[in-house]
Amino acid sequence: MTGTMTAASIQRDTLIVDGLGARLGDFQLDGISFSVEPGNVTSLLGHNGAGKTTTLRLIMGIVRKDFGRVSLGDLDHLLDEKEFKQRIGFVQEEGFFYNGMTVAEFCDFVSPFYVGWNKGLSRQLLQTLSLPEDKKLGQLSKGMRTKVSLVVALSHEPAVLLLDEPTSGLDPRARVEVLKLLQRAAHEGGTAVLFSTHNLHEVDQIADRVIIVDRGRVLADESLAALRCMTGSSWRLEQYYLELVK
Amino acid sequence: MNIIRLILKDLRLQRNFVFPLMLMELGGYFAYALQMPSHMPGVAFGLLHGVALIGDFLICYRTMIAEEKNRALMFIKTLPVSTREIVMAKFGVNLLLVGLNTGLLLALWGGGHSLGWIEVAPSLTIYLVLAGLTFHWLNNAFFVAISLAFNSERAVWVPFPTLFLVMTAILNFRRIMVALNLQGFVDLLHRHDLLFLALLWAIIAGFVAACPWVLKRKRVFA
Repeated sequence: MTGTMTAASIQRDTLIVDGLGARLGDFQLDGISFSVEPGNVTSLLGHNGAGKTTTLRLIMGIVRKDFGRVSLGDLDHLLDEKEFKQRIGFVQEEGFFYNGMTVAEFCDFVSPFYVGWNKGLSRQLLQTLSLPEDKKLGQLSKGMRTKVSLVVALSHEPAVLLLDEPTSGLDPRARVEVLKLLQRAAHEGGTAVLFSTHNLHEVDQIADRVIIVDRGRVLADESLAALRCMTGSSWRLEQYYLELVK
Repeated sequence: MNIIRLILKDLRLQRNFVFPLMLMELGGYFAYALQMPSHMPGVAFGLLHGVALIGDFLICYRTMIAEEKNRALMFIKTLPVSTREIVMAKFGVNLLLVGLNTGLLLALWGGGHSLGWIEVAPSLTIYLVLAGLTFHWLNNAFFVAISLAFNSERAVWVPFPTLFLVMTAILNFRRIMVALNLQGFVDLLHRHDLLFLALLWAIIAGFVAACPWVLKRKRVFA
């Protein structure tokens, strides 16, 4: 899939964050910039309180920015809010809501909002992830709920998939399943995937690119392959990260 | 269409709440109203609106604060819907549920009155029904606007001091109007009942129009 991408489609499906900043109480997100390209898994790595969730919420317009710009192709995230969100899939951390709805009812509620909702894909994802359609959301484990959020985020075939700590609190099996799904969405589906995490092992495992954030600033934005190539086999992400945030 | 979808979602989520609420209100109301002596008509009718006032608040609580607390409102914001659509849907579903709740109370009052179960005046007129509904829609719209514009956890305390202020304003209405040199306007409202209702509707419309504007300036959406 990634091989068939044209320069125009890459430009259209690349999420660009340019000098984004906001102040939230004592915390300041200080004009961060990066881009997320289609066909790549990019991780937003940082410790708790580094600004990962705020960055994702700023992109989605949940938190109001003070300055900066977010665009996907020629769509601005605020000026073209609805069109922008038609092309984004978002998985937020701790989504414990609509407990009375079954998985199928939840998908039925969300699907009409998206022009490009693919019913077949949605059903296929539910089956692949072994999600019981008739079970209420309130009866599902955290891992299952994250999977439901993923199904909803992927079923409209978004150009960009944003995930806020999608594996936090998941058991090892669910974690592996979720990470595999992200990798497949990027490498086979051509989706631009950006996921936040503080787990170095996950980044090492599936990310093509890493953006390290600390105290609201971007400290590094590098391709993992390039880093490994530059520094040889002795290179360790953990060491690199700790050096940067020291 | 997005507004209708969001309203239908809320109606589906609240279906198990609204009917028990109405039953409790009716039980509470009639338990007292039927014991009231016939020379206290105003008290019985006031009690009816007092019970419906609790309903207005609870309906707002269920549709707004619960969704904010469990981050469902944040989830809605990530869907391809505009802030204006979210606001319109929230006011819309509250309008429907409060209309149903107050409408049923008023209908039972009217029915009970015409069947002779409730002997106390006043009997219902179309104007009284419209005025009653409008009053409750305004009260509920106030709660909804507060919970949209502020953090609901804190906003839950706003209605109480506001209620004292409003009651004081109502009790001293004539004095305030004289002080503001608006006696002529008050006389006009007295002569034209519907104009008074239109004024209340204008305030509701003001809440609906102001909320998207306020939300766009709020630091965190929900």
